[in-house]
Amino acid sequence: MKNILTIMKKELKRFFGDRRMLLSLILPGLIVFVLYTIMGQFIGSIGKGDANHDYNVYIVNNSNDKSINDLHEVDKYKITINEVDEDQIDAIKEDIKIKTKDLLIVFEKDFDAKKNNGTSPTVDLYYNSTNDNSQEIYTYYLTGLSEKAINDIKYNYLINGGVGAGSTNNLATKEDVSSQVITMIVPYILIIFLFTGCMGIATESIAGEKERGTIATLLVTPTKRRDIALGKVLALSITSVFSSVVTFIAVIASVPNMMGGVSESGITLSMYGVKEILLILLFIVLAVLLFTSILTVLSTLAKSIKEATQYAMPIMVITMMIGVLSMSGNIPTNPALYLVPVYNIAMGLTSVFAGKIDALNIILATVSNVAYIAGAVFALTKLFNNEKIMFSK
Amino acid sequence: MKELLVVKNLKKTFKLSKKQQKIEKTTSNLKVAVNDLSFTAYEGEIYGLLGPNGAGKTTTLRILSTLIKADEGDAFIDGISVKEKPNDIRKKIGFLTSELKLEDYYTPNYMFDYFASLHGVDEKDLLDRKNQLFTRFGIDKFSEVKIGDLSTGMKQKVSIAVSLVHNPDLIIFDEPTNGLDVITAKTVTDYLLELKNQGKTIIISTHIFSLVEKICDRVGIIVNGHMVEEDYVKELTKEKDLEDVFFDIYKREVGE
Repeated sequence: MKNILTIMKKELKRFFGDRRMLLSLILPGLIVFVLYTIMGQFIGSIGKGDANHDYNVYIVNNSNDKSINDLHEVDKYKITINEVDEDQIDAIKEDIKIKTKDLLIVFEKDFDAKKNNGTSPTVDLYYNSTNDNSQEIYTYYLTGLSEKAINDIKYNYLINGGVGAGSTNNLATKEDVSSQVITMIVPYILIIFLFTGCMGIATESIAGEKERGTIATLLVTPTKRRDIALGKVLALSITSVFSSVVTFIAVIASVPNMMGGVSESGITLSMYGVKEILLILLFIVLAVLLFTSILTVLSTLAKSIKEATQYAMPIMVITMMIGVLSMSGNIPTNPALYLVPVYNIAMGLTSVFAGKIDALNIILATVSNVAYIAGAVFALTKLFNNEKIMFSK
Repeated sequence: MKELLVVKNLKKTFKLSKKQQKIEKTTSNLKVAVNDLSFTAYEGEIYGLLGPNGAGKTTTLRILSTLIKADEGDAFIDGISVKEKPNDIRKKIGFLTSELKLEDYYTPNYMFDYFASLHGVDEKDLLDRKNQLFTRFGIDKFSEVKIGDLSTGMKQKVSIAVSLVHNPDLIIFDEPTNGLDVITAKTVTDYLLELKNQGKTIIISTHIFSLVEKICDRVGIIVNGHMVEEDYVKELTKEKDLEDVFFDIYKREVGE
């Protein structure tokens, strides 16, 4: 028993006495808390319209039922009701499809009379799920009409032909639905895979050479420190880019399978052309170069691979959090935000996948990342000249 | 005789971490590793730096090989300042220590070509040099075997060959026979003598008296970062063997 306690005490001293080890015990809990908090906030914002949006709702054969008309008067939304004739239905549907109108409600002819004599008339709501404003106002009306239909015996009508969810009334194009789904998932997955791919090899690079004693052999050759830094970063980047492109293809190829249950009509990639693919590749290359150069700097600062991995952990947490932000699909319009490293790559990818490319923002993201990469390589060159960093044990 | 290496008043101080202070049993956070160290090595001689562990031998050799910089003083190799032109110095020196290793994944052949390329050795010289060194050390039979799969002795031979790829004028070996079996150690010492006969200048650091007596022309004894004695080995060992001479000097300096 005494020996067990002696061994246990020694092991616990190691776990709780070493600050780095203690941090590695606490960090997973912190990561989970921060990630879930951010994810919870963004999931709550999905499908939410703009707070100040003027919802334009078009109604055919409007009901005179006060209870139904009360739905139009609500503090939460500013709703403009436009009563239109049946011959305008197709034109309004087209406008909803292209997101210039929010909602079309078509009451069956003589709706009130049929409702009152118990012949269950229909009311159809047409919306576009890829337009947040349309989705939000649709949900509001669907809920309101359903509650009345369920809770009150007088309201015996069929919403969306009785289907309820009204999938056929969703006017979003297959391309828009696909783009929405891909935008929500692919940038996040890509950023995580790009980072972990780079982390796997870059943290090992210099710290591993220090551990094995091979870096000094290189430093006594008449090779410029800058050339060593660039050679290392470029080689690691080429490896990571290769791995990343394979990952990207795999992610894109698997999205239709993964999302089979989300969209009944399936997922299409037809909305992406050569321009989009080239821009995605540009962001992949920028991300890989940025991650590799930062991680190589950390690897150089570390004395061992284990220490390098510990240094990389906070960067991984930040990258994951930024990746989660991209899942909301919201693209910032402030150009200054495209100067923020990693975030600008996440938002750049999101904007390309969402088909909302802004040339200025793409240029800002590209130029700023090239500057950050150059800065990291410069720092690496300086570190290679720092004997304390390179040879301390 | 031409002065190939001139070391003038080198001083190097290291900052100690709290952990290192504990190990060194000191309250000071500074350690003077090398203090006002000067010596000269001539063309075609083997110069030995002799001293106990922590005397400053390795620090001196690291300064000469441009891996670290002196706080004060300078060294000149063939008239070129180590401090001012480290890149030019790297072309002139071959540096080897048991701490410098080659990556296990690659073969001796690949590593030789790699370092030849970094040293700017042209294709023809590379083949001649490789042939000469690989044959001399018996590496040719293992040239395509991964370094990780070689014996410790063969790894050391490959390291020596690679460090000499560019045919340097000055060869700096820190503890050249450290950790080697007697056969490999003899191969290394014999080769150092061969290099000397070719007119190369060799600086070695060691605490092995017999090695200094066997191969060194002159020896500098370092204690606590200071050069406390410097002379021809033959002169120093006229009356006593080197070990006794060393301990007399050590007692004089440290008082133990």
